[in-house]
Amino acid sequence: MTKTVLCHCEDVEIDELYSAVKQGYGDIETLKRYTGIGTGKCQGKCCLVQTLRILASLDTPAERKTAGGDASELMGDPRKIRLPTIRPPLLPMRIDDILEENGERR
Amino acid sequence: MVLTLPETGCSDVSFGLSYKSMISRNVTFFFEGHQLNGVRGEPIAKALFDAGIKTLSYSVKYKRPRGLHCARGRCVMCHMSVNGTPGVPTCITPLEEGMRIERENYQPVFGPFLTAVARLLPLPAGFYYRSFTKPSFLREFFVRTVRKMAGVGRLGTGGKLRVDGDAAAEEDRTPQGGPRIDGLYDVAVVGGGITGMAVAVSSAETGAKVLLVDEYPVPGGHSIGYQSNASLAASRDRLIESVAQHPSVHYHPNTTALGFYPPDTLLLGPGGSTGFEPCLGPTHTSSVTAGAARRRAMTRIRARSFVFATGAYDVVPVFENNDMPGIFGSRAIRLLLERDGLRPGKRAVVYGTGPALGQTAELLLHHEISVAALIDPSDRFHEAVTSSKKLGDISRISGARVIGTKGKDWISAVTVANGIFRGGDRPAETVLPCDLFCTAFAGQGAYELPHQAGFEFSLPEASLDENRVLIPDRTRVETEPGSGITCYVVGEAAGETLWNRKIDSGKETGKHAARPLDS
Ligand code: FES
Repeated sequence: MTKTVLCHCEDVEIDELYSAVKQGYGDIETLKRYTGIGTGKCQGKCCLVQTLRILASLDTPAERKTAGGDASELMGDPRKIRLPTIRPPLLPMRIDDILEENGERR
Repeated sequence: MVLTLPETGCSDVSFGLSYKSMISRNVTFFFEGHQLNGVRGEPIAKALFDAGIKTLSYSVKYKRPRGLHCARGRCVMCHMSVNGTPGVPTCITPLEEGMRIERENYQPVFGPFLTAVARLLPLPAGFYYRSFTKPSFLREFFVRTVRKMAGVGRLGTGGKLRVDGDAAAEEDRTPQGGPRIDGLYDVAVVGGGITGMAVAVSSAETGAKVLLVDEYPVPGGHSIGYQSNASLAASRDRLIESVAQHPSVHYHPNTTALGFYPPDTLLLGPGGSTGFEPCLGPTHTSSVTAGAARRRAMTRIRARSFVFATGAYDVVPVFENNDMPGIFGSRAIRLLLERDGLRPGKRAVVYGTGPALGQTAELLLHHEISVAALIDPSDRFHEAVTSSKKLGDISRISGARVIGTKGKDWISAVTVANGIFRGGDRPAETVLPCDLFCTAFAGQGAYELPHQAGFEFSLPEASLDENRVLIPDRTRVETEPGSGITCYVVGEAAGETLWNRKIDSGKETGKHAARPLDS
């Protein structure tokens, strides 16, 4: 099946982003929670930029209308398109290594 | 501001100039029960590729095939279960005798059937929160089945159980070398690429005590994908020499920066992050590897200045079937060809803009991959493309966009549309058969650490380029007002693309970082 997959880790399609925007989810933090974009193993390294680009490109009133017209306030101004919070660890870690850090490795 | 700098077991890494010694003999390994042969030390993914195995994992919901993609441990598409350890990035993990390698998210018995079904079903976007919700008594059953089908890899599949008292297990647990860093530095540099090395050396020249951490066993970052560029390789090797020789540069390979905690703490952990020493491929011969044992524990360090020379990664544009194996960014294709000696296809289409488009195409030709077409979404090609003799009469399409790919488990063609369009009628399309698709756009600077340190990143407003990337709002921040702790972002992480300028700005930043704010 042909699909346009925005987030490869969580298999989130581009249409899910559009439909979430239509429903009023306008900023990356809530879009992340609602669609799962950027919440997979790579933590957004492969999809966050593309997602933010799409959000920023919905910046003219006409395009906002195409996307549903009721997108949240945060949409449309590239200056307001920001990265979500990024938490450590930045790469997947072995539980072993975390245990060792706490002196519990045995 | 004065920091005391205790020596807490920081032993410097010894440098050697042989790499090939790691890679020599044939080994046998097991892929889902099948015995295969490979070369010891090459990336597992390369051994699998050579054995014809290109689908390395399956996506969680739609069971779409996933293969090598970033070639540097970032995109997780090559993650497999190795000797029972799940989530191993096989693109940077070396092959060893007797390894047992399995795909995750995949059931060998029903797998092929379920995968085929999941891939054929017209599962609509968002089906998993819209369907199977009623009636409620069936919901639980659906949820359980769907979750099982998705799968997340199992811990210890087929692996040997570690029992206390077992001598082999004991040995496995002994921390193997790898200096433990727990210290204070004047300057901590994250990223051992060209820029990071320039920063470290110039800081050290002012007398500062410098920490240089890099997640791979060999310094050089993406310059390792430029082996055939002799002058770049030479300046890289000179930088490596200076890093090796300068007594106050404390270089730690195989060390990943896992997080930055303002105002002044950096959390470090094992490179490659999976329990195996990351590898760099057999074609890479002139670099340092000795002493690059895997770090086993997490450590914290503090410093007065931090420099993030974290580099950049590929961003592949969004189009139909953009997740098809066989699609690579320019950095990934460089690493595969020049580092691993892996030729992922024979006939390529290159899609990109600026000089990178021409450079990527020339690299492919250099590795005897034919280039079917060059596609630039902008109106006109960069001079480097128009004036290149090597690119000869390769067909060129400007002002066009790639809107999709075709293929089953590997790309077989790309679809190109003339002109930029949004919605409405689809413009005329051209289908170009190929078995390799490379993109050559600006890389996205690795924003994670700088963002944690207080840099804001945003898309350049003025640019309408649909392939624009996030750039930092400045190049220096004080992590907390009055703390006197400064952070810098430099090199490709800050959007710099030219190698010379990376070195120059690295040197400049190194000097600033070494100078305490209040002096
Ligand atoms: S993590 Fe291995 S190909 Fe991306």
